[in-house]
Amino acid sequence: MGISVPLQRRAGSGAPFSHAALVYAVPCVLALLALPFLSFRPNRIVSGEGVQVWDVAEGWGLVGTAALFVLAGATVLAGRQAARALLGFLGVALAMAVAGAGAKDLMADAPQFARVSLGGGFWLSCAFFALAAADALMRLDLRPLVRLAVAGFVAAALAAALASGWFDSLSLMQEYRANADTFAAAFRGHLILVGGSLLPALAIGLPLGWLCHVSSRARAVAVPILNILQTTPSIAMFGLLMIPLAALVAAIPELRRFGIAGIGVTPALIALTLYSLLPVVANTMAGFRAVPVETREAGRAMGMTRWTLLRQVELPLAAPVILTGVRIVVVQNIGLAAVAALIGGGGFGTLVFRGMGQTAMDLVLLGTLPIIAMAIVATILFDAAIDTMQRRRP
Amino acid sequence: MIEVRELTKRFGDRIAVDGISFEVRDGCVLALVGTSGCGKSTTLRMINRLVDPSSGEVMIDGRNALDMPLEQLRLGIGYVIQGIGLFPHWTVARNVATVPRLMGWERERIEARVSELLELFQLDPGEFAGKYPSELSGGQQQRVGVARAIAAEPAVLLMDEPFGALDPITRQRLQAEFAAIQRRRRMTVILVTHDMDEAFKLADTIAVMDEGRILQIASPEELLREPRQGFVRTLVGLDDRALRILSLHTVDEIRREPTGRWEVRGETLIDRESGRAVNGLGAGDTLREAASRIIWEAVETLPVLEAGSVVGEVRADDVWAAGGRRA
Amino acid sequence: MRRGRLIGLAVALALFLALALQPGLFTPLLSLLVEPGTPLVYTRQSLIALAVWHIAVVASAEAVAVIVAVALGILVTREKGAEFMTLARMTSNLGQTFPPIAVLAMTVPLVGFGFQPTFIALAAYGLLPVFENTVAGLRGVPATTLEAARGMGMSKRAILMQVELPLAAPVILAGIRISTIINIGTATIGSTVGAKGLGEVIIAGLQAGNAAYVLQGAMLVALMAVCFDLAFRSLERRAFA
Ligand SMILES: Nc1ncnc2c1ncn2[C@@H]1O[C@H](COP(=O)(O)OP(=O)(O)OP(=O)(O)O)[C@@H](O)[C@H]1O
Ligand SMILES: [Mg+2]
Repeated sequence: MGISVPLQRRAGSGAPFSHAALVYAVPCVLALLALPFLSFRPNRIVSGEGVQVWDVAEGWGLVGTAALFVLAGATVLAGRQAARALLGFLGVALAMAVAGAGAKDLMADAPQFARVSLGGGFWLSCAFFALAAADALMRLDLRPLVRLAVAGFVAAALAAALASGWFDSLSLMQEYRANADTFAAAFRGHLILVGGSLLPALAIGLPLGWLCHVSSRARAVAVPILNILQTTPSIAMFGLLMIPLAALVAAIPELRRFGIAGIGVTPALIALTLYSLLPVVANTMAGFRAVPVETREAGRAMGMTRWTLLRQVELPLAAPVILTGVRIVVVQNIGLAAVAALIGGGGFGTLVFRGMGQTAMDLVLLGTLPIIAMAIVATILFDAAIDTMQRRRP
Repeated sequence: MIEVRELTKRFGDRIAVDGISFEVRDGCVLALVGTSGCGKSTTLRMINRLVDPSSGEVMIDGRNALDMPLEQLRLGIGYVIQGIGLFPHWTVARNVATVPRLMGWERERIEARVSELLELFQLDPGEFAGKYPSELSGGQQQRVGVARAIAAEPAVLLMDEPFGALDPITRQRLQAEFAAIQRRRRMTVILVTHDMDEAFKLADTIAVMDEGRILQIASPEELLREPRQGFVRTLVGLDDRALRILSLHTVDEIRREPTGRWEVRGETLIDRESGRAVNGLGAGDTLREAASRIIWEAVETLPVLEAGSVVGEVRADDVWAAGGRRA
Repeated sequence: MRRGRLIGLAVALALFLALALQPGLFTPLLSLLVEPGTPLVYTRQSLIALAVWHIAVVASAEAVAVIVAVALGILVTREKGAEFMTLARMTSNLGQTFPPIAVLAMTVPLVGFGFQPTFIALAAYGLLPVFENTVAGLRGVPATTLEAARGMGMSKRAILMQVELPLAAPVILAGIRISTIINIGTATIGSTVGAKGLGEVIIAGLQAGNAAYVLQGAMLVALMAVCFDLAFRSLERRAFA
């Protein structure tokens, strides 16, 4: 994969009428008109019948639809980006409220095994409102700390909403209650996979990146190998690693006591570590390479030791690019860790694959949504850190 | 005292510097001039050992630079790098403080030194100390680069085109300031420049380089009066050498006793013969300035003024003689 | 360098074809991995047929992705489309935080199991790197070059076709390469939602605990990815010349 450098900061703009917002608002309205907002199924397996947004629980349906349309229009007309962001968030909140109320109403007099799932209309309208808000926030060009505060506030509001019980009639929440233990274990497992692969990747990748920067011979050997590793598809990598590990354990059975086995967390961690190496190495190299020659020479000429130069000049200058590599790795591994479930590595993939096996889409969603959430949280945190670093020196 | 003996550097088959020798006495300035790629930077970089010589030696105050611990050698040599090379992640103040910090000065001393230097180079510390290099103009960056190099008062200073990116006025002011500092601190300086006027103005000795060799090494006046055939002549330029020679001398050197031809009336000075008002010369003005004024006023002689009174006069004939071929 | 790449490509391709067409050749090697008596070669489908399916789904999705992504990339780098730049970059950045498996899993409820969810997920996911690189490539054209082209009286269209796109071509090709490689991997996961492809072999191996199957499938997919990677890299080199 290519080397990615930190995004440049974007200029703020406060156009009173936004063509760009139309791109969110129009599909949002179309999705609400054309696709079912909820889908009702008499039991967990059969396919459901769609419920349009205006057909959900009486009071909520018509008022809610009208309000959603007004909000969508308002995001286009809003005079300030801050207002546009707020309207976007309100749209998401309202769509969720309507969905919760609708589900409660549908389930009130339904058979025991009936399920209410969220439909395309809900997902797409939510997604477009959220994008409108995110777009507006981005154009505001907020300082990193403010951005984190906004993200924290949104996360807290979401958590409070989920805990309130308003959504308990939705099939997604029912799946969560039925699998709460598995969910917690999957969360732990996912964190272990991501964190457990990041540490060795950094421990190997940073020095290796530096080595490849200073020695063209090291570069000529390491980079093609890492390229091939990165090219190997994840399932193949997991599968290939099982074989030597299984052979190893067969040869030295004591290893089993340390939890090493051909299947499970060990091959998953190794595979994720291997995948992380190329981005870390490539970005470390790119970071060091971007240090101007004159700067390095000035440091040397003034009598800095190699170590001082590295610590005081080269590392601080390379840090944003290196951190971008780390962000790429973390986000990438959050996604790849899901595949680890195929070889018993745990993580949210467990829920995804179980859901696919049972054709229970809400279970798939229960596994998928937290993966996406984790990736978004990681992106926000890392971007804030990278931005902070770059802002300190304009 | 810097002594360079038979210094040579090869890059592969290419000889960048070809067995050059020279010495710079304490408190003197040597200018290295020559076309692009003739090995000036490489010579400088061998003195602080950013580049290791292929052969030859460098002695600094009688000690062989090759035997000195690398960092110690460099801490004692200020270096203004071609291309400035400020640390982009540090403020101006932190940049200037680099060597003092490496040498472990106390904080108050560093702060005082940084302010002093910034003021010296006409960068208001209140405004500039906290700025980052990217917020400065090219010329401001260059001044910070020079300030950084002399922050720890090195006895030896190497400067690689230090005043390149400046407008003529700022450049002249900085050259004058630098000359003053250099004289006051008695720094031993090697200056690389493309600007012959700069070399004539600042250097005690000029070495003309071409293709890795020194073609001629001489005082500015000698270089102007007796340039070797070929490249040196082209570089020095024979067309205006008289004027250049004049600019190396001051009015003081050829002034005579005043004849009483001028009369001070209030603020102005009147030439009794012509009845016109004239402007006097200063004792420190160069003969080039004197020549220009003589031509402009179309007179044979001009008064030398000091503190409002006439202390001498300069005759056109004397000026022409000073700038002319010697008998 | 280039010679090395071509030799690498030839070796990888030869190995791939041998493994796909004559898996029998490898039975002595495979038998080392499993208990005696376990089937060694995947026979439910011919390997070459699965490989062709695999390539077909990736190629068709990639074709759609490239057309859409390059068009979008050109659009947002034009003066009139500049307003949509933030939007497009953000959507693309967000999109990249979606893991492939999640994209796949979310498409199934919309279109059911089989070829379609894989195709849609691959096309959607494949868009992002191509788009990113198209934008980066077009923006990377030096302003002075564009100024010169304009000064010589070239029309906007001519500038795009004769200056911008050729100069951006290596970067765009790199985007297509990255996207194709990711999609070869993602298509493997597609087998979990019932798409035909080499993932089938690996998953069958994982389910039956048959390391020989896993190795076969994994080698085939990895070799396929390596072949495409090397082929694209030579193309990128040529685009520069
Ligand atoms: N690290 C190096 N490797 C190979 N060749 C070099 C290196 N450094 C300098 N050279 C070569 O040595 C010669 C002298 O270079 P040097 O930098 O000393 O020139 P210069 O006189 O400072 O030129 P300028 O006025 O353009 O700065 C040049 O031909 C240059 O190409
Ligand atoms: Mg030079």
